[in-house]
Amino acid sequence: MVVDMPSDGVPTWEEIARDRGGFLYNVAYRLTGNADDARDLVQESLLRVRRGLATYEPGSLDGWLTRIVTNVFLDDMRRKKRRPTHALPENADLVLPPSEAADTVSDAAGLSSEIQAAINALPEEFRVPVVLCDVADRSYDEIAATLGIPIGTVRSRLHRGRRLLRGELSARGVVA
Amino acid sequence: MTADNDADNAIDADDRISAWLDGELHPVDRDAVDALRRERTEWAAAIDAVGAVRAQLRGLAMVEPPSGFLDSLLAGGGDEAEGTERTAAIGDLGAVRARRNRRATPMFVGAAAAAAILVAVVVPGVARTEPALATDIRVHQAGVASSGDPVSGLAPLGTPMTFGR
Amino acid sequence: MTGLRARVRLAPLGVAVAVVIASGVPVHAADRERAGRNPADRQFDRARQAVRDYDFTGSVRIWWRDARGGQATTVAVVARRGALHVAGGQVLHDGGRAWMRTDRRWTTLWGDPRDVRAPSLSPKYQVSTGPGPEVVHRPTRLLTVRRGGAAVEVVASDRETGLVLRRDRFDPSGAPNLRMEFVALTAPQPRQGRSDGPVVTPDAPGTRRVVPDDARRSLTGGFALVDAREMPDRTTQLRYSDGVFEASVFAQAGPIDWEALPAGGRAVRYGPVHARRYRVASGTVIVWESDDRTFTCVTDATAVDEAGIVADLSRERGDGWSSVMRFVGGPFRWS
Repeated sequence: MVVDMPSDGVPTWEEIARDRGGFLYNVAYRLTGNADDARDLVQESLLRVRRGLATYEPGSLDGWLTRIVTNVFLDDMRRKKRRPTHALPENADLVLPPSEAADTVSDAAGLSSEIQAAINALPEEFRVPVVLCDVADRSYDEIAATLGIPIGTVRSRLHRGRRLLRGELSARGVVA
Repeated sequence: MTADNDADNAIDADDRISAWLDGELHPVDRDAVDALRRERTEWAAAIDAVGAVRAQLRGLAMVEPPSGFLDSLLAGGGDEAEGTERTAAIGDLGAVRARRNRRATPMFVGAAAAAAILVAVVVPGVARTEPALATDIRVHQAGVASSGDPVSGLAPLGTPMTFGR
Repeated sequence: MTGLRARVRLAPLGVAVAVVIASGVPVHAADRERAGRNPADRQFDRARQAVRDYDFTGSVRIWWRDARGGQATTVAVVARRGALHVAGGQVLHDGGRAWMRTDRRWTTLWGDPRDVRAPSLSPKYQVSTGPGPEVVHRPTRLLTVRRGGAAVEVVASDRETGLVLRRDRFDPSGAPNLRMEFVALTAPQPRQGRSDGPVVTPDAPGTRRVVPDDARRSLTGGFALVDAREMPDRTTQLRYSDGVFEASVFAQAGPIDWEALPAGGRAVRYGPVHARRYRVASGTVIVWESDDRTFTCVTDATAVDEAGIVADLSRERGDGWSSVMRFVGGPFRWS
């Protein structure tokens, strides 16, 4: 979606939450792979947006939001690595996603969920560049700046990520 | 593994393919890939294969936030950053989750009470019709796709259902 | 369209929908015969056949204009075993039928595989064909539809397969207001196997075909009634076409709940009719009410034509608005 920013002003927090909350949620969902974590990611990102608005300079709003949501996501991933948790749910049935009823499944069903599952299967170092490029529609320059890596690394990780996805999707019969 | 397979894998691994698809190649490299694509079927096939994955990703339907989620954030006005809970470490999603869980029960009770009041007050009113614009658009486009071009008929259904002026 | 919801809020009205049927009455049979001979129909016949005959994966960029300016998004399309998958597989088209996945089951969006065609091109249009530009590195053939000398629609079709690769629409001033084009496409390969289509449970919502014999058969601007449907919530759909553009008019019992409409629309007037108008990727959506009834028109027609459609269906005369009222409020039977 193209967003035309007013050239003479900074959007308010409410405008960002209302108009770009959907964009943030979409990127968050593709990064995390589930609705609960995506909600948390958006909520935390909007807190940072509120703080950051004081120093925000009008430019690519979606680029700025993408940097924020990515940084929140990466911070959380790092925290989880430092403090791994292995707690099992008290009742596994309550947290396992329900499977499709056999009589409603067809070969056409769930392409979207197949693709998301393939994204989830990507190692984080490849998943993030792929989501930033193909979901958030960011340029290589922006991705490099967001992740703090050279542009050549963005290029190679992105390509590697797409090749890995191709293998996953091919195995799932989504692409030839 | 044959020499042909090795060559195909080398082409497949060439990250110029993704950069070419993304329009991120230097003009010199871009022209080189253009030529390879035209002249060598294995290059065309490798580009098609990665292009198919890229197309799938870029064409994923936008995942809409759960109903009421953004409204609830807006209603809070981002005050969490300013109010009592701002002591929670920014970036600590665990704290966000804890906040959400703490609120879940009271929110549910509150919503149920509000719904009960709404029903009591509004039921005697005039019955009004809520047009289902998104459904109407989908049904219309499905008909267009059936009698005209299926691709351009159905593709609009993959766009976010936002309603501009 | 889960359950196609209770569109009438708070209390069921118990109003039976539509229709006296013309069972087996052909809808513009003569027009259908003529339709097969115009270049636009031939081009779209090939496009439908291409989707049935080839497997491919592509990415379609859609650009449209609303009051905020240009909007764009990209949608993946996959043709596999004769079926077309859109929006990550959530929408499926196969042999003239279409379904959408809602929650955990398939809803029928279009259930009748009969090839309901538009009437032959209205005389207001002039059509020309010729070579077109390359789109996704594939040579095309161009179909240009003009009205009064100005292009209103340009379609570029793949020379080899007939697949529509680019489609542009223009407003009466000549400014573009919609473009759909492939920005990536794998080389189409002959179809491998045959799709079985989705499994649709018997209780899943869907539309049913009805042909009201007292609904207006034609509207200003050369639009002819080509089809009519009833949905599970008894909303009726009257579908009109002028051979290039289409308009669906959905009629529901009950006055409109203006506050329930999505934000973003613009209040407009068509003569005495107050309406709300939205621009979406599909075209224009107009919502209005009269005599305790709610109407929604979805169309890709020009602003001039949309005004004519609303005006025609709003006239208090025997074959127009009041006819639709009877259509909504009267007894019905299925064809």
